[in-house]
Amino acid sequence: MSVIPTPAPIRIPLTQLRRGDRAVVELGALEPDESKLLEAMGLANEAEVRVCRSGSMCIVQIEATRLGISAAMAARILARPCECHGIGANGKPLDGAECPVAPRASDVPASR
Amino acid sequence: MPDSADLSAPPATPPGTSNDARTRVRRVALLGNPNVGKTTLFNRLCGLRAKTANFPGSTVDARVGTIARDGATTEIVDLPGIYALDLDLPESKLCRDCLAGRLADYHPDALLVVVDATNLERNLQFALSALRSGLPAVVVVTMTDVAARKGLSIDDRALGEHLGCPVVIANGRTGEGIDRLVSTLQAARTSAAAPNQGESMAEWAGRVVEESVGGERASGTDHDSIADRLDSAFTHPVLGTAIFALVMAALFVVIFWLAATPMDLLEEAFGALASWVRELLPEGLLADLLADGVVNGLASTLVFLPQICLLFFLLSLLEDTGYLARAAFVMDRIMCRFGLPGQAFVPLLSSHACALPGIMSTRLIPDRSDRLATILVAPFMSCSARVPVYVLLTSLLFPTNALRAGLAFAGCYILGAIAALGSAAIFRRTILKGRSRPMVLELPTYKWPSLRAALLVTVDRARTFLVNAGTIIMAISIVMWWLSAFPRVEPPAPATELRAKAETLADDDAKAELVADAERLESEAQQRGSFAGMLGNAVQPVFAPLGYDRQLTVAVLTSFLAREVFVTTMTVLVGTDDDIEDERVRQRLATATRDDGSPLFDVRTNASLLVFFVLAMQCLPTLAVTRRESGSWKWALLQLGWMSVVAYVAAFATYQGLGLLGAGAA
Repeated sequence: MSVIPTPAPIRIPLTQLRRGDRAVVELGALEPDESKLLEAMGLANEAEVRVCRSGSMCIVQIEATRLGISAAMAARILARPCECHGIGANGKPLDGAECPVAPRASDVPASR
Repeated sequence: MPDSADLSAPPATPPGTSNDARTRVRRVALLGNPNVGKTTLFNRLCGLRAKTANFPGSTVDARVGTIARDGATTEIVDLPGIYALDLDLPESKLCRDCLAGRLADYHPDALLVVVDATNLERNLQFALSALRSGLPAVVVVTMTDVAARKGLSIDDRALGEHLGCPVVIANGRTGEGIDRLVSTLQAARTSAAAPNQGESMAEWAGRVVEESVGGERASGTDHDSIADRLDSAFTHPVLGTAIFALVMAALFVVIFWLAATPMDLLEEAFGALASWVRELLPEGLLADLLADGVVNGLASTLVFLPQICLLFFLLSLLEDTGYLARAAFVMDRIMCRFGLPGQAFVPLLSSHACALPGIMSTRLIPDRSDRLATILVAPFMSCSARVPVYVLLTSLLFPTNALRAGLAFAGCYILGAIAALGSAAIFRRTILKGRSRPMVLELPTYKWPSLRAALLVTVDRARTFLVNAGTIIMAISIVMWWLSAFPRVEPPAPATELRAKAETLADDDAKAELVADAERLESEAQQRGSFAGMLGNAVQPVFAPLGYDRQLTVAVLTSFLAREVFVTTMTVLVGTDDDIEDERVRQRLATATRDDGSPLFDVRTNASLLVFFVLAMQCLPTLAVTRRESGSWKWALLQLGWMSVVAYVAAFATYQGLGLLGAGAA
């Protein structure tokens, strides 16, 4: 039986999310000391964030912590949008329609 | 890299449990995340009984205070706010060293860990890592009032059971729970039984919060519509910058406006003190030393105390509201192009009032390289002491065109700012090379500022400034006085004649005028014959390419103590001690000549002098404060050398460039 491959989860830089978007962040592209600092400040790998300001400067909220992150650093933080807000799992616009939460890489079944 | 092994293993004999520890003063290390109310709590516990020094081998503030109660004295060491003990950052290393007993004189017997009730999950992870040091500990929960407004309630008993140490709820602002905290702290003698959980720290913290926090929104909230709206405005690229400009303008207007009267009063008081010293003591060296060296030297620095107090009071209020973190974030986009962090903007702006508070306020900058770069370039910003020099030189440069004079005046400020930012970019790419700490800031909750906390910060900063002024600055002032007072020069013959003539006059006004003329001649002769004067004559060839003759060289050298001295020296040298605002004085300066009869202030020399004074260090107190804040004379001397070279080269280029363009005498 063949499995229809699920599209790879869309990962975009944190700077490309819009205000109000929610996303799960991946800190793999940061230097170890940077990700360690962010983790200590409350922004751990795979944490869910809400974007309070996007663009050249990024403000995200993680539970009770609100962090301002410079554009240079935010551009290296990848985010998997939890709700589409116009971005489909294939990375294309969805005309405002909702889409399911983008799956994690580990959730994608391997095709045979 | 951090040595976490030091923290995971308890000391063989916990310091707090030894017999000698029961009899001597107990030392408690206060630690916690930034923005959790740690300093407010410290101020509430210790009040004015706190002293600020530097931790050994660092420039990090070490605030130490005492609590005396029921015959027992507890010393509190306020450690810098950190997010984790194992980060590769200087503040984290300092806290690790302190907890491991590696800091001489700061070895703690117990810990007081501050956790924020509104952000308990993250704070508990930090608390757990601190408790693993094996020291007796008390955890204090702050911000419970803010948490209550968010629908959260904290069960301190349950929290204590999870943490294995006493937990006290206290409010540093209102004083609520402080008595219980002090008695609990004094009773804490056994090591905290930090849980040895089989789960990750984050999982453990999540479970503890679940079991210790009640209320309908106990799991925490990530939505705050008011904070969202305020952040949208304060961090907006255009609106946020405009708001910041308005806030800063208001801040400095208030500082200038409110500081003017006390500064005038201080000047008058020191003037009266100098006169009193002269009346009290017989005429001679001791009177000169005390009146000119000590009193005037201190006056030239202490006159800025009102500005410094107001600046730190208002900055402390602003920081407490949570706004300053947003402002730093907005400015980071501009400042990072020059290798400076957003937090550097406030110190640089403050330096327009005076470089001393500007340099002192660089303590807001967490990264040492960023901080050093800001300290090094801050004196380029045109301070209020440069204003008299700018007024004199621009009015001499454009005597009949107020608009051009005004533009030249504004140009001085722009030139200073360009030099500061350009120098910062050079320093960050050369001697202070290295990656800046990534700009990631926690944006604290908005709240009403605490007047009490702001007042305590102000008193602390003022005390630090006064100690500095009373030691290094006074010592250097005395040296400068000695250089200009020795060797003693005999009064010139015309001065003796004037004094003799004055004795014969009956009219008091005419007599005073002759005596003043005699004093001017004596002062000029003393200046020329003193070590400072000899130095001026010797180095005049160095300043000749900039267009300066003997008189201007002496004025430039004597203004090393403080730039405004240039105006005083010039008025003395050209034969008047009246106010520079007086039109007759300006006329006299405009027509003053050199020894060869050519105009003293021609266009080229004027422009060259203006550029020199915009860029040159020429401020002894700044040098002393740089040494203190950077922790080394090396940085102070580098600052002096760099600014002097930049000023010399720019003034040389101006003088010679104008010569090539054909600009001649005024």
